[in-house]
Amino acid sequence: MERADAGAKRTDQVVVYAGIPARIAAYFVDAVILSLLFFAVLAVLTLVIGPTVRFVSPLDVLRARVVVDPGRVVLDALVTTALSAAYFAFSWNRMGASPGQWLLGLRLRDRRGRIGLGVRDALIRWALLGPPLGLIAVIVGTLAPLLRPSAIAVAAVWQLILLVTTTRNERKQGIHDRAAGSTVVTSSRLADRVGSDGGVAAGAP
Amino acid sequence: MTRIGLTRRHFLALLGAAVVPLVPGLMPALATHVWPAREGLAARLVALLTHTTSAAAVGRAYLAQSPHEARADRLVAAITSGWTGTAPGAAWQSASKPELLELVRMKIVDDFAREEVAILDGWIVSRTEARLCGLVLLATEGARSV
Amino acid sequence: MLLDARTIPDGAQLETDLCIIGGGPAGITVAHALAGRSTRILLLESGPDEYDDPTQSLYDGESVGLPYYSLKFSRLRFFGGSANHWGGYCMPHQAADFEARTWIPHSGWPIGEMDLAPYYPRAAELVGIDTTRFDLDWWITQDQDRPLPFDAARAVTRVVQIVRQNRRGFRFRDDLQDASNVTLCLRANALEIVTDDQGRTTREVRVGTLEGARFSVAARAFVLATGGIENARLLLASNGQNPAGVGNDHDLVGRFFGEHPRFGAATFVPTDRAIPLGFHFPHRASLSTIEGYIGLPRELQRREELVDVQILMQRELGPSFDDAVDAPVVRDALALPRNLTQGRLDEFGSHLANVVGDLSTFQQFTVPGAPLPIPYPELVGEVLNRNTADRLELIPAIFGDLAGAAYAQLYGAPITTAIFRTRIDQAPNPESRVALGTERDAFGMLRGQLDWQLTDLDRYSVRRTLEIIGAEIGRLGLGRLQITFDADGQAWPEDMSGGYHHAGTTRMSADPRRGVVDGNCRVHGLDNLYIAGSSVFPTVGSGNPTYVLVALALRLADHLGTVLS
Repeated sequence: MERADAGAKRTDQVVVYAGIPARIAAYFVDAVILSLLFFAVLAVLTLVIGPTVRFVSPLDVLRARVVVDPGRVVLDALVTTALSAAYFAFSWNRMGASPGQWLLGLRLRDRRGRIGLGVRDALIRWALLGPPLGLIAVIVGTLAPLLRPSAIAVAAVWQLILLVTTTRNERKQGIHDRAAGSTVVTSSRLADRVGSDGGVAAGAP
Repeated sequence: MTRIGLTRRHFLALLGAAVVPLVPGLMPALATHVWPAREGLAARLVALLTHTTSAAAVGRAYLAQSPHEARADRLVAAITSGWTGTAPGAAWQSASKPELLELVRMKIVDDFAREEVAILDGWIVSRTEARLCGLVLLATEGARSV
Repeated sequence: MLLDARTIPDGAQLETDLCIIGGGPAGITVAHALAGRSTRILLLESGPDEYDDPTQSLYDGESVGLPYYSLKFSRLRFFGGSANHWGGYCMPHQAADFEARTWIPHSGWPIGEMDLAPYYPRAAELVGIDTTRFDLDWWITQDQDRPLPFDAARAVTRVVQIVRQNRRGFRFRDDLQDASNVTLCLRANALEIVTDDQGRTTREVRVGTLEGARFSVAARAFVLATGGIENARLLLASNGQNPAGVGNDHDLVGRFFGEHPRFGAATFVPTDRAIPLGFHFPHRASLSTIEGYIGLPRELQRREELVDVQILMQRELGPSFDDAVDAPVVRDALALPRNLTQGRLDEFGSHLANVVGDLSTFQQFTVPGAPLPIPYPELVGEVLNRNTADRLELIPAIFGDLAGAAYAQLYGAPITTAIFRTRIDQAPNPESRVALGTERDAFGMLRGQLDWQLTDLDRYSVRRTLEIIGAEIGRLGLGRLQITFDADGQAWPEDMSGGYHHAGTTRMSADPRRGVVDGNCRVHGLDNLYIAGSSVFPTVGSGNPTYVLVALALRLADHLGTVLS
């Protein structure tokens, strides 16, 4: 659609596959932006339907006793996960990069080499990046605290798998990229500074 | 393009300035929440106390008073049992660091409620905190002897 | 009417309906209650209107037991009596104080809480407090400060009211002087109580002035109200007819001297700066300046077989006692952050503070699903809404130790610990006694000798009370308690003193073999000699003697009004 033109212009350029450090840095920037966004949204949610964490009485600070509403924890997790999905799917689809990637000069290309992903691919890529596993860990941890360490472990192992598969792929496509048909490329000078282990390929895909 | 680059740099700098002060406080939380504990329970209990010298001093006073408890397995058993709360024994084994801290604190409250206390140098302390300190003492002395 | 004893001719014989010996709170109360009636009252006061050293020296005496205040100054000998140096603390005895407690030998009063209850409203007016309410639940509604949140089955807070300094005089001199039936006779020293030959009736009291005159007062009834040491001394010294003295057929006069022993027994170290202790120091509430004493619930004392031990807090650093009493609101910047303990605790205490601190941190509650561990907005709001003291605790909990340390560096308050001082309702002990010494005063009367003694039950009770309160403080996460008192030793702490509360030396019992006076404060075996004041208390009690003895004196006045009319 609107991204097609921009993408088409670049398919015949020499592209650089973004390196792992640049991609992690981009993710960290997104994490900061998302955290601020979550904080704002939860602040509104707290104002509207009340707090998740409550001090039982003013004296409770003495005993460090707070009460956490487990239902609200799950709701908060659902809200933050949905926001996260919307944030990435929207930015990948409309801008061709998440704000973090954009700041670091990274762009996502779809299977046809165009900048930006379709909504479906964007959601697949987001899901496989792991946020739903975090949600599952929260829900499992709330319902069955004993299983929480295992759920967190699964999420952590998954992150490791993504890292390894990305590193070992010549187009730097991790499992999430392969499923969504995406590649992360750079055409910006910024990338030279942030990371230099990206692969170089003529043409694409 | 140059203008965009400047904007990016400014934006990153501002973001960094806003976020960096938070990070030292946040990273421990990240670590404790994300990474499952792999060490044994005794080691994880010991890790709750960061003031090792202090804990060892308190532990020394306690074990001098209760020398029969001066074994890590006995201390761990005593810390995780004799509990009137509802947390099952398994909860101690699988607890993350914050959960372990919470369990210990609940046990300390439980100790005081039942007057399960030790009087060390006049100080009225819960047996659980005294035993934790005993564990730290055994851990540090053990390390020294190796 | 006012009379100066120096104007009474030597050898004169005065006659009245009621002779009250002693112009302190007890004697004044009896006279005041009967003022305006038809009963003629002569109130004999040893001193003048103000302090007079030769008169005061008549109180001098030897202390041979546990260290005690100078006997010369433990009571004041001029009009108003010891109310002239009264601290103004008021609290009634509790119902349990009157009960015979099987584990406390010689405990139990022949009267109960309900016998005094009708007299407290008037007693409150006389002592200068505006309400007779002492229940914590009510005071909480009148006060911005809060007591420590004890589980009522483990520890309790008791409210004591403190009369303002300018209302403490207890003089009512004009009232008495204006009353047509009252003669206030100053500089009149009672030297001997004289009974009839059978020792059944008090005939007269012999009186002297320091200038050398002697006269006597005959009356239909006599009230002895000269304080816990002097009452016993006068009875023992009145041995003209009976070598044992008056009212001493069973060798009880002077025995069972009781006090409220006080000493620093423990150090309370709060775990954090946010713990509000203001309620437990003198502070202004709606109607009065009040203070919260800490004690054990009576049921727990019964189970543990303890005497009542109340705990008074004393700041290690802070305003002086007198400044604190009348301060409108005494706010305590109390704090013991775990990172700032150096220099204030001994080495072991610092180690323990570190350990407790390690275990006291919050779980760091973070928003689920967030890629970075961000705190909940409400926790941030909580930090913004709190005062500095609370923030010092919350910031490390929410943002981590580094942020906490930085904040403490900027806004940290000095550390304050509190000394727990005892106030023991000491177990009645016949070996703790007032006797006649060997030296004589200006009148040739044998001086009083005090042998104050405590029992193992007192020591054990202090220890157990502190252990239980210490555990409760730990359970609530308020801090830790260090018992500094050598509970296993034999010696009592060097800083031990009393509260100038002299009790027990003419104790009350329905049984003449167990008490000097009966439930109406009448001396057993004598039909017209009464005793007013805390010397009739069989146990010192948890309350403050002045307030209780004024109520008891009002009850006595009621009784005398009936007897003499």
